Amino acid sequence: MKKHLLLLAILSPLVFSVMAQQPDVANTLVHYKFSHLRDTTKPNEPYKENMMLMIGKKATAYKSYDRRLADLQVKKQIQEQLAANGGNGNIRIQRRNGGSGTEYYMFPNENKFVRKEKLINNYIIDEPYPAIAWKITNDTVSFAGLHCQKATTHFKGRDYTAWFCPDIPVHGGPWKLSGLPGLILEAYDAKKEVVFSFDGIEDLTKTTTAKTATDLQPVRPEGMVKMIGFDDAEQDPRLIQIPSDGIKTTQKEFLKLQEAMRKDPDAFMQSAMAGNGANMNSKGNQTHVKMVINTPVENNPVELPEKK
Amino acid sequence: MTKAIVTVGCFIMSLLFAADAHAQSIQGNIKDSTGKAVPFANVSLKAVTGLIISYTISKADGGYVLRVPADAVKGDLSVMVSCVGFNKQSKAVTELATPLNFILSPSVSQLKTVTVRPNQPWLHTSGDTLSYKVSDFSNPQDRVIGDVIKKMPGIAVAADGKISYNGKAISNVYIGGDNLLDDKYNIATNTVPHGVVDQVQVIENNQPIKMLQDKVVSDDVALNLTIKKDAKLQMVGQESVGAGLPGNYDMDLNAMMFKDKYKAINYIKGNNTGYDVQNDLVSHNLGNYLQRLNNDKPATILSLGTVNDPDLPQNRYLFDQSGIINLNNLVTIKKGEQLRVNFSYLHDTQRQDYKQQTQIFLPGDTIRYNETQANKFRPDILHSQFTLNINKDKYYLNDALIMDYSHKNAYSSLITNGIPVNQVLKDNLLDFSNEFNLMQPVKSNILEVYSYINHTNEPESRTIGPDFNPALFDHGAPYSQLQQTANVPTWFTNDYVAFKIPTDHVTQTYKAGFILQSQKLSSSLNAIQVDNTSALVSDSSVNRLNWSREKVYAEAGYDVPGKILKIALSLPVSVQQIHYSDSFYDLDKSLTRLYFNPQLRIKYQTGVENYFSFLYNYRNDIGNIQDVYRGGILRDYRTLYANNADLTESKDQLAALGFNYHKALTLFFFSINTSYNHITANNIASSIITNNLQQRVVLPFPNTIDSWAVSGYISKYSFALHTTFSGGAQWMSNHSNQILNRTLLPFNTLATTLNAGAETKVSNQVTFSYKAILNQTSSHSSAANSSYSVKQLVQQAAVNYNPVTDLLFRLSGDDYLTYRQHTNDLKYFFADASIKYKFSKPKVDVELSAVNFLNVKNYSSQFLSANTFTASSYALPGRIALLKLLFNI
Repeated sequence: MKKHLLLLAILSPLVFSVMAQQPDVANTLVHYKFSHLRDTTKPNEPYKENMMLMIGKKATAYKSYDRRLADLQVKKQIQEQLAANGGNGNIRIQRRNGGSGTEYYMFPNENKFVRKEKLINNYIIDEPYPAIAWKITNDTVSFAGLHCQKATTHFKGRDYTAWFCPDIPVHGGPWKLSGLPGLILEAYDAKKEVVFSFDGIEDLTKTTTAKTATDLQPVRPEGMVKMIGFDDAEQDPRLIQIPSDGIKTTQKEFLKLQEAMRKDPDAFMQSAMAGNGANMNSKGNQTHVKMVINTPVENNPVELPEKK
Repeated sequence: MTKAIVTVGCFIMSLLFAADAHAQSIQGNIKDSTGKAVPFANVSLKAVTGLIISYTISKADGGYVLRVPADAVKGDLSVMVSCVGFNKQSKAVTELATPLNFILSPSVSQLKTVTVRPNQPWLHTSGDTLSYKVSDFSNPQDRVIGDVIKKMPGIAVAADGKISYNGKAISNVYIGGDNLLDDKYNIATNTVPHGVVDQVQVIENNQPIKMLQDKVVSDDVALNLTIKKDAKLQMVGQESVGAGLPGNYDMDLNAMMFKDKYKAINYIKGNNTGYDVQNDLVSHNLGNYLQRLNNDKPATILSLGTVNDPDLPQNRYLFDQSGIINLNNLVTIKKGEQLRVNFSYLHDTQRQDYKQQTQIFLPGDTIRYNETQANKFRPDILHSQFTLNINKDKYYLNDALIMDYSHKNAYSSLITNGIPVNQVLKDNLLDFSNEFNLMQPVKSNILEVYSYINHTNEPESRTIGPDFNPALFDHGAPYSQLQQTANVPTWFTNDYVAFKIPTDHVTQTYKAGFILQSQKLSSSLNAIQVDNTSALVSDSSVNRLNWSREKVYAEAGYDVPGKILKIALSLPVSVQQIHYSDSFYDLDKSLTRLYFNPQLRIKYQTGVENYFSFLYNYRNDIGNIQDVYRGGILRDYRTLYANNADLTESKDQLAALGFNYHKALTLFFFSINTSYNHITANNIASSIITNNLQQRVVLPFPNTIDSWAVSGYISKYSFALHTTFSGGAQWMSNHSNQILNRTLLPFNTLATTLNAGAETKVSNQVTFSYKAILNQTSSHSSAANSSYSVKQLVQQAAVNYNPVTDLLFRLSGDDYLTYRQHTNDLKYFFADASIKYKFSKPKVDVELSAVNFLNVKNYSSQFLSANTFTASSYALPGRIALLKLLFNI
């Protein structure tokens, strides 16, 4: 019980809206295939995920495309089943591997860089704006007809090669890689343990007809079930906005939370959902199953400590 | 006053600092059309190549300071400003100190719409290397890497498998960076499955010797096949076994290894479907190799004198029963130390059936000839090569031991107007050579030792009989056989010592060496009587000719391996002595010559992806032993040949200029090359026919040959159409003098070739290819009415269709149109079809193909001249239906 209180004490004062930025509307969606060799003992089984970079006028957001698809799938299942049984009865949800909940928001004009982590709740962590000293080389390549030039750098413990496209004047790129005079379409480290490969561009200006960002504000109809754990399944997929229910925290505190979750997932769920206004009474639930979180072996994080 | 001094001093100081700052940066500001500052815009400094060399982002007030890298070439710079919501703008940099201000106009579309299609090709350039991703150009019907290479923009593959990149023939195909095959790269392109190759890399200015890299200029272009990681682990093999009608077989069993330390391509192949396995053994740069060695190997003397092959691709007319064992293995002992064994054995039986009718219209009479030929060629060809190669930064050693043995039997049964002439030709060649090359550093210089030794022996013998032209060969008496033998055993060696002095910009090479060639031409023409005694046909039908050539040479060479300008100049001086004698004909001559054969090559890089090249070459040539034998040799059954002249000496000047351009980003390639060749000879050789003997005589007319050639090549990949378009044009004009009817006539020959092709991926299910080649040759003399002109148009098209991944259809056809003066036009069309199904369990592909399903069984051509009409016809293999099983190991 003491632990629960401690967690609540950490969480509750931090629950406030993070509305520093005006929402931006993405006009372009860039798809990347992300591959990361998390476990070096299995060199043939890198972690793979489809990612997307949403590009707006003033901001970019980099998040999981797999997760968006999974969320949409679950939402569809819920809506179908709600429609079928009139809002009563059990809802069975099958969710395939949902992808990571980590998102990166970049506001170049404000020199602001924000990471969003998902641990039941959304946590917002301000990170230093990535200032990367790129070295531009003469090598060129063309991805799907987009002309790119090569740049190299050392960043977060790895030597990266990035291919940027001067014809797309966006300073962004996948993950934290940014700051080149053009969008980064591909990037990988020297050992190819971390690879962001270009997988296409979608023009979003023609997909919907909404005109301004305010038209795209999430509208939640009365009486609708609030679905915890979904991010933008309810809002316009083009909106670039730090989740309004995000809990502002620091990297240090977030690591503490992660550790707490790993040690006692049950207690963590309880307190986290309490903080979110939901309730999960495990004592009254006879079929309660002890939560076990399988964390895959990760001996090779993307960000390596700098060797001294 | 003090204040004034301080002010002035400050002003001067600030000027100095400002000047200093301006020398390394460009400043300016960026506003929109309403005058508002545009912050966070990309400001990029571009070199003449269009590549960004430095960049910055405009500040909140729209101002920017752009650093200029110290190594940037001033004068060709431009600044480009781009920002979301605005049109991008570029301005040339004239003066670094002048501020460059931009007023951006708003753009309607914020970001240009980019629709992405999957599998769009990309090329990667890095320095001299250009990489093609194989999966971008392959389709499900492709089997081997050669099928994919020919679809890549910028690369062209000729019918014999010769690969050229942007109009220039390549020197080698490396496999995973290793030289397994030298220039016999058809072995790789016809065998390596495309699925194991990750990238095809084009390496320009390829200098394979590490010690000479960045020191000695090379303008070679080489290909490298990079192997996928998983294919490096185990043995790779793509097997096919087929049987068909009428009585056909076709099999290809191979095993390959692409490990870092061990590379191998080993296979057994055999067929009787018209695919000549000898094509795999073609040395594409044999001419360059022999020229480098300075080795003038004796040519084969005797032949059956049979008809030429029809003017069609070989697989359309060849009757064969061929088999080959080909083993190529390379082991890397240590880094930079490699041992290689190449071995091949080939056996073939080729047949040729030919008929010809000739009518000669004489006043009041017509003479008719009927000729039929049934020919059979039976070659056994054995090749073995052992190579030790040590290629390190500080040491180079290469030793290649080559042994070739070929045993060729050929039979021809010829019937002229009902009289049979049976010929049997035996030709056994033994060729042995060792090439040794060592380079070792001596302080900061390089010492090179080189030695090459070669021995060839090629006894040839041909019998004709019985009773072939007894009036000429046996004083009118019947006899059993006419036998011609000939052999030119040859020893040759070329040895030198060279000293290379590399400095910052120039590498000097000083070389001294010698060449020895010793030959003996022996031949005799005998009539073998019915009682097996043999006698010389005449007292001039025998040769015992000794020949020796000694050459001592010294050479100075200069290489400038710059990034922009590459120069290679060589200045060799040689003294050459030739001596030949045949006591039987009282022949004993020698001549000594001093020769200077300079060569200059220049390559000037006008941009990262384009350059000019220039070549000038002056060479002295002199004839060989086959120009001086005095006794008659019956080279074929129609030609008794002897020389009655001295050696021809010629001076050959060649100048060539080329421009080569590619833009990898847009997959665009083009090149244009021109050359001029001027040859002057001290005399003109001609043949005169006297009493059934053809004699080479030399007429003391100085002779010049001038030829001009222009060739262009263009290739472009269209992203919108998923198509590689390529085209080429060649034009050649040749002026020479010929002796016709005992008068010297200037002759002019013009040859033009145009070709165009397209390789397209209509959708994931359908691919289509088309190729057309138009050849036109004409020759005429300004002093005579006779002229000659041939036009030929060859068109090839193929369509592949795979409605589902397991089922593949292919339909292809080739069409040949020939227009000749005074004859009827020739039109031939061949069509092939195949259907392939991929079974998943067991993993086997089954292919049913019908080659030449329109069953064209005959090729005939007619020729009409002023008083002669000939009609010739060849038998073709006709329709072949083949069922093949294909599987991988």
